[in-house]
Amino acid sequence: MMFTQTWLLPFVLLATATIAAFPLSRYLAWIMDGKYRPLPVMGWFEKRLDSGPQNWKQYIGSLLLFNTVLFVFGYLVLALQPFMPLNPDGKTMLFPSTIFNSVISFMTNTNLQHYSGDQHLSNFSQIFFCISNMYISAAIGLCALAAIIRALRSDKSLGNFFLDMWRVMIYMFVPFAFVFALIFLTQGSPMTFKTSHQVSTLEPAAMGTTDKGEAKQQNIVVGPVAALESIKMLGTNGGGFYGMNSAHPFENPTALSNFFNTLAMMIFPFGLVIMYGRMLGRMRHAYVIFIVMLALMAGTVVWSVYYDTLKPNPGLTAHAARTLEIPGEKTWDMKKSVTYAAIAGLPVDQHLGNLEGKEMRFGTSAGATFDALTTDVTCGAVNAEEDSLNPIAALSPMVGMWINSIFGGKGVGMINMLLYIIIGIFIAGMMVGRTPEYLGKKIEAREIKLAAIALLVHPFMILAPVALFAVTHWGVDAVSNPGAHGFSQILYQFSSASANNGSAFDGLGVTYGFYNATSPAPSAIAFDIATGLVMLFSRFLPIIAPIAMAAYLGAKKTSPVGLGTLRDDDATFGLFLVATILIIGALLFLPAAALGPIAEHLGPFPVGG
Amino acid sequence: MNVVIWLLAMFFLGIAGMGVCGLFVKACEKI
Repeated sequence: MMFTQTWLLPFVLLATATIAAFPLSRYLAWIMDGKYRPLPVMGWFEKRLDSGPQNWKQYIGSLLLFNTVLFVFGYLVLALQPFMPLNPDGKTMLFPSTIFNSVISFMTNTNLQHYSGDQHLSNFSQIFFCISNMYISAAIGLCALAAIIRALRSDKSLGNFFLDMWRVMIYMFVPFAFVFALIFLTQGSPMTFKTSHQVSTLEPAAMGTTDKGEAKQQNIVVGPVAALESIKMLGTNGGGFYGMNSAHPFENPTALSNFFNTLAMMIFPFGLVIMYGRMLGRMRHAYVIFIVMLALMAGTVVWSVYYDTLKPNPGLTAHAARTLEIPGEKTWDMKKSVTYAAIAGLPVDQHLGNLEGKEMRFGTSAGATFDALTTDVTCGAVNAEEDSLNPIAALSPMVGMWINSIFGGKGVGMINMLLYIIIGIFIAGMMVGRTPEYLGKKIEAREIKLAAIALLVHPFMILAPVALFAVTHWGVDAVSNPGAHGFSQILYQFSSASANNGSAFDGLGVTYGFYNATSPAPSAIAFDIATGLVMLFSRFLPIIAPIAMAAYLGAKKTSPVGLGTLRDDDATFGLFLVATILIIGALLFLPAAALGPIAEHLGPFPVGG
Repeated sequence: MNVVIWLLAMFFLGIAGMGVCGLFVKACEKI
């Protein structure tokens, strides 16, 4: 019973998403190849949107210009929030650095929220800023992947960016989001232009009393929650209507809504991998990539569930007294003894594992499952508090973000996997003394340089700011836990920003709030600016370089398959790909992991353990 | 620091960031 209770949900989710990927990939390829016949009205729009075939520079130029306009629009919406309609509560403007961070965040599909939606945003901002960006930003990565596929196929052009955006939003996201929104409505998510309900509490005066001695009513915030929830998950956006995100009973009311919530963020990333194979005409190759990703995803889910659902919370268990020898202040020879007193455990039944920060209506393993999956697919929504995960379990979502290609977001996960493929084939080629080839095209210096630059942006954008914040008061003032866990909070924040994930360890103080807030978090401005720039560069640089790389590759002559050609559709290739990912990922992030979650797991309580 | 100045500074920081991405396109061309 315990085994079923723990493992049934993750197994069914992975199986359902895998099965759904195949028919979905057919539909996705049919749309992106333009083989559909649009309705007359739609066709009229499409003819006007299609500004003609584009090469890689034109495609990227259109993408960047479009996003610049999106930045300006989003900035205006948030800056002018106090003057916009649908704001009966009179919510004022966020602090400018938070506006900057939020606009970049939603534009890059990260949805890192240094604010709380129900406290700080009006319904106008939720609709015209959050929801609109969720559709648009989700489409960008998919368009980039389609362009790369057309380049690798040596098509005459990479297509047209504006037409691709239309196709993705109108034929993919809108219909699927509508269906999922209906599902969430049936489960109890609100869908209204009202902003709140005033209700009398069961317990008299639970909210306090007025000056006249009357019981205050509770203010329950509502809005277009179902509409936001569906595209939040389908577009792997992750930015919740409420600060509690998918743990809130209005965003995610029941165990059934939780199942569809989780499934929604998985189906497009799963389907896009098979779509890659369909559009290229290399299905076996796509199956190998799919299996590699599925194996890595299963690993992160099993790790997270095992160490969080099947292990107790160390903060509640008893710890014997410990005396440690640690280096003294002056030289390494001088040691000093530090004694940690014994800690009596709390009388809490932990046979269901670590329940801190979990929503029990979803089941015991739902939190750990969701937390692992949300970082694998770079969604960032949460149905449990990530900061409450057991220390070593928290390594799972971090690894998902560091690898950044375990299915990943729509399009960019497959693009990142392509970078690992190119680097892996290059390494294999060097090992056997043959010119590396991918899809019959020789991989030469230019392609490797572009792939390496694109792959290195992500770790640089994580490790450099983490190091800076960890040694300065910016980070020290923001952490809510000492030692290794505090470091993990900072590490997670920048990992999430760079992976365009958006989840966070919420103990980190990064919220300024409204521009006239009287006691903002001391490091809020620093985090707003730093994570904003990290999100921006980590989103676009690893899209630009691979598109250029694919264009250069596609322009080359195709070499015939020979005896020495490295096959890319067998188990050897799959295993080599896993090894490449783990070696590059582990080497780059192992030191940071050792200072954060691993130290916390191994170290003496209260600093670790 | 005056809120208006902050608003302008953050706005142009974002535009500058997009400009850096545009320069990166040029750099990829030259590689």
